[in-house]
Amino acid sequence: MSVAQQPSSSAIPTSAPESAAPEEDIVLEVQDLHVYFYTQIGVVRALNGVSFKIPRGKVLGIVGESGCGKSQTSLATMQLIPRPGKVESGKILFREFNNQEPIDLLTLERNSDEMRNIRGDNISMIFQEPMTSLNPCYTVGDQIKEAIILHQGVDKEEAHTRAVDILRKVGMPNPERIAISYPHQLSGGMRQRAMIAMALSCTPTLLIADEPTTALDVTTEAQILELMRDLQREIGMSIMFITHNLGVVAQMCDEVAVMYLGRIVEWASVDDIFYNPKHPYTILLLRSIPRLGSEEHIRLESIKGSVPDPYTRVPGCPFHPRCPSFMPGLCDVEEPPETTVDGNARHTVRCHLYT
Amino acid sequence: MASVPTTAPESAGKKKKVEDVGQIPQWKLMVRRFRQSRLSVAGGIVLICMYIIVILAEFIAPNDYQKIEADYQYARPSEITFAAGWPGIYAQQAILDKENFTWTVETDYSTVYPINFFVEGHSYKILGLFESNIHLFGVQAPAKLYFWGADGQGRDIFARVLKGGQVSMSVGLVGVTMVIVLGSIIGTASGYFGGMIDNLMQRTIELIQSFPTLPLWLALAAALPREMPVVQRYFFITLVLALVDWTGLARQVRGKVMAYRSADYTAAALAAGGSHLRIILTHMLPNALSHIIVVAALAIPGVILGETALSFLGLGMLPPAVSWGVLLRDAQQVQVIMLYPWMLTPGIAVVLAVLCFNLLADGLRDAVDPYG
Amino acid sequence: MTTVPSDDILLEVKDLKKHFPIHGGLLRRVVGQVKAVDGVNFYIKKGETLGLVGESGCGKSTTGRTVMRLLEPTAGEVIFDDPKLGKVNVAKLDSKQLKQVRPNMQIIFQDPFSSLDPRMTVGRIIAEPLVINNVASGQALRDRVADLLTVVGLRPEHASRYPHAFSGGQRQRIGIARALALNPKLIICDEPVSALDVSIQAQVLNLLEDLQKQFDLTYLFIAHDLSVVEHISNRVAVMYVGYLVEMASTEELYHNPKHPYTEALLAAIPKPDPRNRHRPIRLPGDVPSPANPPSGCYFHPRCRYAKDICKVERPKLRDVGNEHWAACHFAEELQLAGVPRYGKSAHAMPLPTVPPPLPNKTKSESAPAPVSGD
Ligand SMILES: Nc1ncnc2c1ncn2[C@@H]1O[C@H](COP(=O)(O)OP(=O)(O)O)[C@@H](O)[C@H]1O
Ligand SMILES: Nc1ncnc2c1ncn2[C@@H]1O[C@H](COP(=O)(O)OP(=O)(O)O)[C@@H](O)[C@H]1O
Ligand code: SF4
Ligand SMILES: [Mg+2]
Ligand SMILES: [Mg+2]
Repeated sequence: MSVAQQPSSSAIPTSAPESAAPEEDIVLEVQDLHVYFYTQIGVVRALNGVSFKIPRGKVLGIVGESGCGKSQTSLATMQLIPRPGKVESGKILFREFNNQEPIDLLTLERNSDEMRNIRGDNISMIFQEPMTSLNPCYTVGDQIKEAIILHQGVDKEEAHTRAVDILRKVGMPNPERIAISYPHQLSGGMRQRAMIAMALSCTPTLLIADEPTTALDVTTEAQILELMRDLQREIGMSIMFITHNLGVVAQMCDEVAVMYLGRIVEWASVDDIFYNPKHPYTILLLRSIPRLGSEEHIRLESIKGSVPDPYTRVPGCPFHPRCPSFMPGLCDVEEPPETTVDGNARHTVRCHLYT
Repeated sequence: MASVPTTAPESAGKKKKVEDVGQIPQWKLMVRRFRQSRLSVAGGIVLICMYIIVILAEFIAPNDYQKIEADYQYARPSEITFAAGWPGIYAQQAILDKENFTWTVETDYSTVYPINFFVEGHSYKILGLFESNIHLFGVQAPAKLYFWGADGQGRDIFARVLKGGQVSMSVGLVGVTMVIVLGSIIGTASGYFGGMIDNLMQRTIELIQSFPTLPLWLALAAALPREMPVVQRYFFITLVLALVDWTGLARQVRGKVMAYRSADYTAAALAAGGSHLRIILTHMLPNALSHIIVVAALAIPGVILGETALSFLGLGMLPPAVSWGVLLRDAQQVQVIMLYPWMLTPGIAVVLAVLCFNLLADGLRDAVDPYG
Repeated sequence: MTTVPSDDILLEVKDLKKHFPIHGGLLRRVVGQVKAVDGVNFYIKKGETLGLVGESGCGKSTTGRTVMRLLEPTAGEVIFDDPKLGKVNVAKLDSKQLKQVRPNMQIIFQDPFSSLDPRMTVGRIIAEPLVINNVASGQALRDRVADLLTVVGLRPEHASRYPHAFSGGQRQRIGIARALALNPKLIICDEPVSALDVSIQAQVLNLLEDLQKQFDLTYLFIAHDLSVVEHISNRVAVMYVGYLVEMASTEELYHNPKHPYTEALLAAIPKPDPRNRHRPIRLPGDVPSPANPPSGCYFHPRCRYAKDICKVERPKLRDVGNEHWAACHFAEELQLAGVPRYGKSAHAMPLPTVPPPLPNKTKSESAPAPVSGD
């Protein structure tokens, strides 16, 4: 647990939560977000009061099992919730510059020019499957050029030079040739790079990455993660990094929000999440991953049961049916409030063990 | 326990059924989804009614569809009156207008002939089986009940449309049955075995599809001898229509079967030692069935229209047989339509049938594949 | 190829090849070959788990399916020790003998959705292998299905439900039950946990381990997640573009890799430890296409240690000592970095423990913790 254990010198220092300055520079602040899907079978409460902040220049990781609402959180931020989903309540405050009056994105019309400008200029998004956001009918270069012309108002030639520059920046071996290729001519990793290039073409303030490496091999994943880290430091943007891979979280993120059934159950610096986790769900997730290099064969710990089906509402703590620390009469009745851990304002948990 | 006559156990049982969505087979879910599209259900209901009416054509129609009534040439649809407190009609009489040389039918408003139910009339056989002479409606002579008017030879259009429906609406079903048989066998073989078989069949299909449909139909239909008996002609016409249509279904089935073939459950069945025939019968066809039904439903209107078009052009069914296409032939001239618009009622029947089939097929398609 | 006594070997694959023809042109003539599996050699001892890893597209699934003869091998031998027929070459069996051997080799799939026929009840799915082989019928069949469901941690009444009512992890259990139905000796697990969440992945891995002990199973475990493979395998084979580049005991392979590709794969794993962030050795570029592989050692365009000979000569998979096989010209000389060894059962990072329930907060003792399904 001690910091002295920190191994090699090549390690990139993780930004442990410094004593926060009184006026924090928050790029995105989500407050009590509720997203419901009104389906024919019933109401799916995809998000049940999600709140978090992303400080400027930091990477916030959002982790959780599939179906816990990670993608809906990101889509809500972009005002892209698909039908029959609806944002029921909540606020999404976005500050392009420090000290600026925040804009509540949810008050904007989803198809208004303002919202579209924010989507293109200030917040970009990359998805797990690059083909969903690359148009198969246009070359990669044309698509990047179009975005640049649309949002930066430069002429065609300038846009082309910039497009090739960006492609070079994301580590494409032969940017001129890639610019004239169609998406289907590229490999998975290349496509993901092309999509990152497109997302970065407007130097966004906030990048939302929804499982950007889940479909890739570890070797390609390592390349993409390194690329995102470098670019993030260079441009100074903030990232909302969605993944279910704890290894990727440890490598990429500054702060982590652990989600379960549409709620954030624990939020802390990445170091605290891995070295001082509090919520039983976080702990169990950490215990259920096989670890490299352990000599003795240790049986994996698993979480009993599975995520309940989305139509049912779990009373009390959403995790209580699977929790080993379940306290009858409390956990299944009262929803645990958000509490800070050991007086650290940057580590909160929602669990009755700590109330 | 069971003897206690309360409704409680039953409602409890019902509730349990509702709770366990997991036990509902896929086809039931599809039926459920289908029921949600009102228009398609309505289309289906209308079609069922149409089939019942058409099957019982001779019983429902008051007049013989073949009977020529020189006095009633181009008689207009009978005016239904409630003057006697009971629906009735007036008698009509045809009079030759000697200046224009056209027949006009005059209505005699002096007497009301009430419409009676279950009256005796000419005898007929329903489906060629049950002989009877009872008709659903009728009026006393000398009045004649022409719901939808009469044609140039005084034949009852109502009776003719109903009778013509027997051909036109069954051509769709019989033709599509042939389409299904041909299309699914060839499509399944092609998709499942792939390779040479697939290659050969796909080229054949491309060849057939590369012919423009209408000229191909015309050519094939024109090759049928005109003196062929009605039943045989009917059979060959459906065959002609099916011969062109099966290719579409075969393509669809092939695509589906290829997907099922590469699904892991097929590999699991092979790994367990299952034979190809068994896999086709237990995994390929049952899964493709819903798609086959949809494609068939989508193909029926095409076949109906095909028969109508061929008969209209004089290449399909020929008089004395009646079908909607044959009937529409009588309404070929603008003059006739202008003077006797009721001659177009067979057209309305065609439109209604085709529309209903399309609505039904749309709903089926959505139910089977809510995303496609 | 090995010094292991042949009685201990359940499956031996010799120079296995599977080439897919590429058709082109109007007449769909064969214009090339995708050499998905191109000369693979390995063996699996009875009761052990051989892990098979590699990037996607390098031929792992094709190997698995060709071994089972779900795909016809282009060349090579697959010697399987059948309990009744003795050692047989599966690649050459006629359809009658094949049907006899098949129950002893079963397969579990990656995709929890495409592996179960959506139109069949779970009961019918699990019963299918039994019905095909006329093993049981009527009540005996239903009992066997109920048994199998219990064995994989589901409930017998699940038999009447349809696959769509199950979660990914439960579907995977159903697939496992179907594979177990015929009491196989060998199960080929083709990425059985890749599509699952970590917590469910742990459940399924534990189940596979339990079943292996209970039924004396041998696994060929295909995966691309190296931590999972390390956890479950006794030995591991690394595949690259249709060819095995390294094979050794798990311990050897992870701590003392002999092939640069293995080194690169190991380095690329994101470690779940924020205090151990490091720059991985970059493995530039992509996996080459098996239709048009590079010359010499297929790995040379991406290899940090490549010399001239690598461009010309393809290295053979050879024993570099101690049952450690590697296909690299410099396997003996290179000092490659593996996973660092930690002390006995100690991790770099302490494993957190779940705090026990607080008795003073528990309000009603009577209500038991409601546990769902699994
Ligand atoms: N179109 C939809 N209709 C109904 N429910 C949906 C739809 N899309 C998402 N959901 C529900 O929203 C919840 C959260 O989904 P999502 O954000 O995609 O999860 P994640 O990205 O964490 O895997 C899930 O329970 C899912 O069932
Ligand atoms: N039926 C097939 N026809 C042609 N090529 C195939 C076929 N199946 C697999 N391949 C090719 O063989 C290679 C290996 O595929 P696969 O065994 O699925 O890899 P892995 O399981 O390691 O991801 C890939 O390049 C793939 O495109
Ligand atoms: S609140 Fe209770 S059930 Fe929920 S995580 Fe904490 S201890 Fe477990
Ligand atoms: Mg998602
Ligand atoms: Mg595979």
